[in-house]
Amino acid sequence: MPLYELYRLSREKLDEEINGTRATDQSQSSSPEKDFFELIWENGNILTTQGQSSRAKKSPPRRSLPSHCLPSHSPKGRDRDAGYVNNSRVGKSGDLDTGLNEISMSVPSTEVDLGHDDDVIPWLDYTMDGSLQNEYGSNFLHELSGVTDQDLPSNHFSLVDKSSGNQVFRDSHKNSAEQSNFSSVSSTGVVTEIPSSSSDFSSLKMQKQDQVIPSNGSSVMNFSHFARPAAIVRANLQNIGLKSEKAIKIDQTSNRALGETATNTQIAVERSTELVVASSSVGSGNCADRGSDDPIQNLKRKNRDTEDSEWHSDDVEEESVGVKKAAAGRGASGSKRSRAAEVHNLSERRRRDRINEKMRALQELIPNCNKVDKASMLDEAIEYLKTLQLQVQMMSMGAGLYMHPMMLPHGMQHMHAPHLAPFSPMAYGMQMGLGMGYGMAMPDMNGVSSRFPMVQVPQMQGTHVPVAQMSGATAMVRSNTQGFGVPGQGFPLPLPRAPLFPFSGGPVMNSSSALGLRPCGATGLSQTADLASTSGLKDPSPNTDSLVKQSTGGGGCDSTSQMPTQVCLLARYNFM
Amino acid sequence: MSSGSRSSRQRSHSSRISDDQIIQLVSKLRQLVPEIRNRRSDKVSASKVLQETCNYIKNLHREVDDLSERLGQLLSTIDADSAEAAIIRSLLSN
Repeated sequence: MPLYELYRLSREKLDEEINGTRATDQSQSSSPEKDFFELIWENGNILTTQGQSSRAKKSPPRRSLPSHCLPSHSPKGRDRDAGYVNNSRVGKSGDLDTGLNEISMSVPSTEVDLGHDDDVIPWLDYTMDGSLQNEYGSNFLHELSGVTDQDLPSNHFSLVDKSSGNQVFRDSHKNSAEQSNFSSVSSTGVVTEIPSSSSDFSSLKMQKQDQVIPSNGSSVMNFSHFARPAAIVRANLQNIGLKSEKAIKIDQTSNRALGETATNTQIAVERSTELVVASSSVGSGNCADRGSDDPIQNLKRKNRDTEDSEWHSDDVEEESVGVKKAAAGRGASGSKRSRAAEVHNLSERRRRDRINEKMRALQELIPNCNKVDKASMLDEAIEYLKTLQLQVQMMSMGAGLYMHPMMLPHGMQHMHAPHLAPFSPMAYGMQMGLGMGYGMAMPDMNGVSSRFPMVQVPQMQGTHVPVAQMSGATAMVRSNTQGFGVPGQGFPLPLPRAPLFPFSGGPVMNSSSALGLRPCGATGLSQTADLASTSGLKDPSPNTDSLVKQSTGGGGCDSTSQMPTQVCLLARYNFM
Repeated sequence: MSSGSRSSRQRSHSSRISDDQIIQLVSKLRQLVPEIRNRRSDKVSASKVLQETCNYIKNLHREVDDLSERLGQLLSTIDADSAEAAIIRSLLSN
């Protein structure tokens, strides 16, 4: 290609000059022999390599040619580029490295020249068709330079000294509407490479962004550069007059997204990139089609809310489809039916929006929820809710237990309802936790626990058997409450017992009531048992049953003491 | 979780969640949230359920905080070396 020839020529010329300057400029550059434009990433900014200042000084007037050296370098330099500093610096993505490689190749080595717009400008102008690299690199630089103008103040990648060249770039960029294969650079320095294979999607994206460029600030610039390829196609589309509105909307949306935190923007950009890539493959060649609206709308949704990409894409697709159908119906069938369908679609959309909004709120409440899928998110919400309930119930039980330490040594003898009055506020949580934590269904045993405050502590030492059972219960507890590191024996002993009870069911309570409390003379146990049975305990656990049997078999104070303890636990559990 | 079964029941392609799926999950949530459970649960909308779930979770969070505070106070009143203290600390660390 003629470009290659130009590049070669320019490179040759550059080599001579570079050699002289290379020594100084190479201090930081990793490729001594390269007359490459090395981009150095600093804080997400792409700075021209090392000798920017030096370059500025030198600024040999080799504009056009040196900058065109790109393509010729590509085949050879690529391999070398791989080892370049850029790669390590960029570190964002493999694509980025590739892009940088290409860029470094494309831009003539003149590190000296790098800092000069004029060098880049002509190079960029040239990079039209030709090899992918050329365009790639040119686009990259193009965007970089464009970004530099407005991003210098911000922490975005920026090519140094592009002020003068930016204008040129922009102009050339606008002129080169036909360019394809733009590389996209993310706003926050994360270069998300849009595969230049498909110009359509890129152009779609870029086009939208392009419109925003003039109107928005630096934040927008980043994104616009990112979507530059799309802008070109966008321009075409707009000329057609199809998508101007949407493009603007999307741009604004993108801008909004850009306004968010850098991380979000990056994520959004990356996601939107992915989405664009995905949608571009679908919509490629459909620039003029309404079908391209979907990717655009999807992009818009995703930019706005990265986490809801799936949900929103679904909704957006549905809406767009519905709108299209409605529009089609409007023309085809009676207006009444189409209007009704439209109304239905609108209401459906509103309903979905409400639901999505609530789901987003719910997702925020759930810690460490990184699910984008609605179903999995709801699953996680359900589990988390159970966990929370159980935790609240455990804590309230423990608090109640230790709120009245004087009661512990005495067992249940002196328990009256008034003692447990302070715990009534916790009844709500405990009931809920009890009811739902394990599928336990003892939510309504309010007055029961009043009879039997916690007795676990003094009982702990003497309960070896229960400990074994506790382990089972503890396992159950642990399995259900990921956050619960139930640590030692002391803890598992009292609390897991409570869960045991719910599983034991009515019979256990009855037997326990019969056995355990008799010696203690507690009168409330029967009430407890009644309540327990009425609560609808389910799934008597074998552990509990065996424990009960042991207590039953023992009949002595020891075993029975265990039972009362369990009952007390249960009572307390229910109470709280 | 039965997410596997749920996903298998998806009628549409992977990116879409079937309404039945959501309905089922919402019903599950409904059972967990007491406020909704005690009402007539026939016509509770999904958005309502989600709203109540959010409120419920916030309430539980508040309760956990209150209980933690209370446990902390308890911890200060009892011997630091007792078994109760250990238990309370474990509770608080959750």
